[in-house]
This record gives sequence, C-alpha cells and structure tokens, in this order.
Amino acid sequence: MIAAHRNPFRTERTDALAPLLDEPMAAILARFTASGHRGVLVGPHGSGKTTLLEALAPQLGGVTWLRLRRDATHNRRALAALPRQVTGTLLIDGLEQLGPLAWWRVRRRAGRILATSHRHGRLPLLREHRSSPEVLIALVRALGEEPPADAAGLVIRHRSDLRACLRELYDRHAGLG
Amino acid sequence: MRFLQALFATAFLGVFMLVGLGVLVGLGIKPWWEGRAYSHWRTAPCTITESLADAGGPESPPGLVLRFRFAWQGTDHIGTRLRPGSEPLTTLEIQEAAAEFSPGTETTCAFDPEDPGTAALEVPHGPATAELVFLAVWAALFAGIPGAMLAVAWKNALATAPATDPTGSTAPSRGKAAFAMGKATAMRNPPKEVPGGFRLDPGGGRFVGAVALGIFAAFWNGITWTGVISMLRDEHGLMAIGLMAFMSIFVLIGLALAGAFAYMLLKALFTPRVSLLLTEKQLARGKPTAVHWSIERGRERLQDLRIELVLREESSYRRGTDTITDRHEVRVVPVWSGTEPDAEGRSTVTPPADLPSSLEGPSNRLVWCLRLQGKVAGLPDADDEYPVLVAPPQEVFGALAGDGETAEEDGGILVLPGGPLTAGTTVRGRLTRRDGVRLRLLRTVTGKGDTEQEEACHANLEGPCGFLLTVPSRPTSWPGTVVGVRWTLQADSASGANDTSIELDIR
Repeated sequence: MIAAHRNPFRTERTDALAPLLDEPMAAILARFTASGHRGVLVGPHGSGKTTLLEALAPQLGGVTWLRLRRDATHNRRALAALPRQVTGTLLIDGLEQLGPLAWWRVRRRAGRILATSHRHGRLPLLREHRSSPEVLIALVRALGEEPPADAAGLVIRHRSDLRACLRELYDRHAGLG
Repeated sequence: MRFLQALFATAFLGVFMLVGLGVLVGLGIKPWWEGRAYSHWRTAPCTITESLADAGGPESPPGLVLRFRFAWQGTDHIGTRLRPGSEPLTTLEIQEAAAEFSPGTETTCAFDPEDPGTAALEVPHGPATAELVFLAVWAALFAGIPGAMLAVAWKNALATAPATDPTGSTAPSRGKAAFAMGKATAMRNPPKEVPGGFRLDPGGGRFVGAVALGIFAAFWNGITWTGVISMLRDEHGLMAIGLMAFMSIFVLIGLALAGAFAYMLLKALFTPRVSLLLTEKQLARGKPTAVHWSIERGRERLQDLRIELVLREESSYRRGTDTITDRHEVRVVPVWSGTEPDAEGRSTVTPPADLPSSLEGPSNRLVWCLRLQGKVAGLPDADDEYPVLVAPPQEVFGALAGDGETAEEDGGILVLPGGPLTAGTTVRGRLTRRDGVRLRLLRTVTGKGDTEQEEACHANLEGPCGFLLTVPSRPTSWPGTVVGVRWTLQADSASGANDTSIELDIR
C-alpha cells in the first residue's frame, strides 16, 4: 500500500502528463489556422482532449478559458464570467454542454475558438481522439511504472476512458482493491 | 447580471405563482367562504309550482317568477328564489332556470331551518375537506416551489460578491494566508451553542428528504394512476392490454417511489432520535472531551446503540463532465456501545494524536464525525452522522522571516533540523545559496482527487543567511490513502534556475 502523496498515479502526476500524439502539435495548429481559427478536438471521456487543449494553450498567445461541466449552476457562472468580447482565442472545454442558445451567444463573443467535445459539429474537426490499450501502456510508462498486464481489459471496462483507467491503477497501488 | 436574472425569474415564475394562488382562491377559498354562510341550512324535496321567465319592460328589468313548495316539520312552506343573496340573475340564467325548473318538476331545495320561508333551489356549498386539501397541496406546489426558487434567486442576487484582491497578486500576505488557511477548515454543519455545551446536528435532514420524496411520489403516482384509470374506463380489448403494458413500468416506478417514501417517513417519524452534546466546540487530537447523549424519543424500540468517532478521507475529481467523490474510512474509534441504552448517558471522545486535524478543501477533505448506529425493533435502523471539527488547541499560521545572521555552507543549500517538525513551534533554518531567493512554504493536498496547492507564507531573503520558520499548526502532514497532505519549503531564484525545495514532516 502506497501513501497518497507517493502514489505514482496521483492526480498531481497524471495531470502533468504530456499528450501522446502521432503528429506534431504544429500540424494541429496549422489546421486550426487553416480553418479560420476555429476548431474542435473530438473524443470520448478521458481520451486526452483537455490535456491536448492545455498543451496547445501556451502556443496560442492570449487565451480565455471556458470550462464546462455537467452542472448547470457551474456552467451559468462560467458563462456569466465570460467577457462580452473575448480577445485572443477562446478555449472551451466541454463544448457539448452548451445548449443551442448559449452556443449562439458564445460564438458571437470570440473570433477564435478552440474547443473539446464528445460530438462532431458546430466547429471544424481538428483531431479525433481514440483511446487504446497501447496509449494506456505508453502513459503508464511515461509515469515510470510497469504497464498493467490487463491493459486491454482496463480500457474496455472503462469504455476507453484512460483517466478512469489511471484512477483504477491508483486504487490498486493504494490497496483499495 | 444576477439582478437581471432574478428579475427574469420573477417574471417567469410569477406566472406559476399567480396560477397557483388564483386556483386556490377561485376554486377553494372563495366557494368555501360563500358556502360558510349557508352551512347550517337544511335540504328537503320540493315541487315547482310556478316558473316563468319575465322578459321585463322599459321600466322593469327581466326576472324569474318562481314558486316551489316543500315540507318541514309537518308544515308546508313556499320558496320563491333561485339563489339566496341579492345578486340579480342574467337573462341567460333566467331562461335556463325557467327551462330546467318547469312547473311540476320534483327537485331539492335548501332552506334556513330558523326561518323556513327563506329557501332557494341553488345554494352555494363550499368544497369538501378532501377537495380543499387537494387544492391546498396543488396550490402549494404551484405557488410554493416557484416561491422558494425566487427566494433563492433574490438571495443570490442581493448577496455581496466575495472580496477579491485588488492587486491581483497570487502571493498572499500573511493575513491573506491566514484567511485562506482558516477557510480551508470551515465546517459545513457546525455545532450550535446551547446551555451546557455544543449541540451536534446530523449531517442530513431525515424529514426534509422524506417530504421531498413524498411530493415527487405524489406527483408521479397522481399522473400515472389518472392515466391508468382513464384507460381502464375508456379502452377495451387489445388496446387496453397494450396501453396497460406500456403503463406498467410507470406504475412499478410509482409503487417503488411510494415504498421508498413510506420507508423514509417511518424512519423520520419513528426511528429513535438521539441528541449529542459536546462540552467543547471543537475536539483536539489526543485530548479527551466529554460527550453527552440523550435519546429524545423511541428509546423503548432501541435494542442497542453504538457511538464511534470516524475519520474519513474524501476526494473529488471530474470524470468526464461529472464530479465524483471517493470516500475512504481511515479509522473508527469506539466511544460508547451497549444494549438497551438508558435515556441518556455520558462518555469521552479522544481523537488519536497520530491522525490529522479536519481539512475542508474544494476537492479534498479530511472529515471527522461522530457516527451513531442503533438497531431498532421493527423499524429501519438508526444510522446518523454528526460532523465535528478536530483542530489544534491554538491556531498557528505559518510564517517565514530572516534572522539576520549569515549561514555557513554546510550540509546543503536549504537546511532545517532533521526529523519531524512539531506543529506550532518555531525552528531555525539556513539558506546557503549566495543569491536572492523567494522562500515559500507550500501546502499540497494531492492523491486521487484534484490537486490543491496553497502558499502558507513566504519571505524574500538574500543568501547565505539564517531564517526562522513558524510551523503551521494545521493541517499536519498526512500520507493518507486517497488524500495526502504534503508540506514543502521551496527556494526560488529570480532566474528560475537552481530552484530547490525540501519536504517537511509536520506532526
């Protein structure tokens, strides 16, 4: 059993993992520019969309974040805090949480929008994330740990949510079963 | 913005409130009030002897010539009015009454038994008690729920916005750090001061939950059963079977809701209720505090009672767009247990000295509570939690300052006494780097949940030099399972190169 602040799969470490890409980030940024500075990263839960968005943010100059959740109160507050006219690029994490009216209001406030979503549409597709046991194994290795023997089973059980897979590995190290 | 939202909510929800109140007044209160004056009237069979619609003329308004005969206590009486009161009838009402009550018609009239000459064919009567209750519940839902929502909207709209640092600085001053550290251990359900001590309330309200579920179950079952009864009345054969098959799932859910409501109501009303009283507002690690318990009701049904002190780690994190909270029980300390307990009793509770104080962060929490469990004959068992605050006897916030002495290069760049540091004490350290650094004391709460980092204090020093560190009294370092608390002392140079840090073990 490993203490929380020594657990190799603690959030502090997994959040710091760099996105695993099969192409340079410059290529994604080039597509973003080519599509008129509007685009979306699509993929299932825990597939690395937000991690990639956070990695891209420093290369976009001035950015404004709009982080959305499945929580109407939180989303209302986040939208209320959004400036009337966004300068630079608006980064939306969880675009699918915006209803049609809110999306109509948000898109008028920013010229440049880069978002993550579970669904296609609304913005040009920049990249589609797919989770696989190989990606999980690479992430575990990046944390300096031995990959689990049941990586494929983990990915299937957690419906391709790699973040949930890493949390299960946390539990195993913490002796939580 | 919030003010505008509250105004919009008022306009929108106001419609529902008006409809609710209008229905209650129009269909409940007004008929009840009108019927109140005639509640002592009696009814009797009567025969219409004359009925004629008088069209009226240039000088006289239209009217109804009506005459009916009824018997009361062996005497015949004559009535002449369609309705009591002085309100005139409309032309349409006159025509309809003349057609309905033609001469020779047998019907029922109402009369004042104290003055049988005062009689009428149509007497207002108020709604029945069941109808009034139904209307009141309906109106309470339509007017009460939007009203409560409006109250919350306006409370939020008029609430003062939290103060922000006008400088936008992320490096807190000592006072700011103290505020943040205090906030980090705020309780959600603090004890209430009463004569003789501090009363603890359970974390969740039993009755509120039961009432909320009851309203929902009433709505669900009301709509479902109205549909089912209507179908059984109007449809036959295969169509009825098909519709009933479709409705069966809703009926089952409704029955489950009703069952859950009954269970919660039983628990809220009849499960023994125990009150806990502490002699101190907060507990301290290693220090015994008296706890007094008294069973307020249902003691005869309580077969055994167990009171324990529990430390639990709670960590919250996002899974996709949901927020999940994992809980891990660290230790359970028995406080009192016994069978057939007395109506009241006393014991002591001592949080173990090797466990940490309470911590309340946005994503990570160390929660202490007194848990009370009791086996109850024939009813749901008692299982309540009473949150308590475990804090050091004296609050000491971290502080850093140079001591004005030059340090020799010996044993490392950043040196503190070896071994664990005692919370609340001041220790001397040495910084042997030969440049200006920003020395920061950082608290990191990490684990399975989202990581939280906070700067407790800082000092700008010119090395090599000695410094004094006042060790914060809480939270102490905690290895934990899903929540870990780590303290680090970090020396950052202006260039960012050669930054160094050491981990502190605060106990």
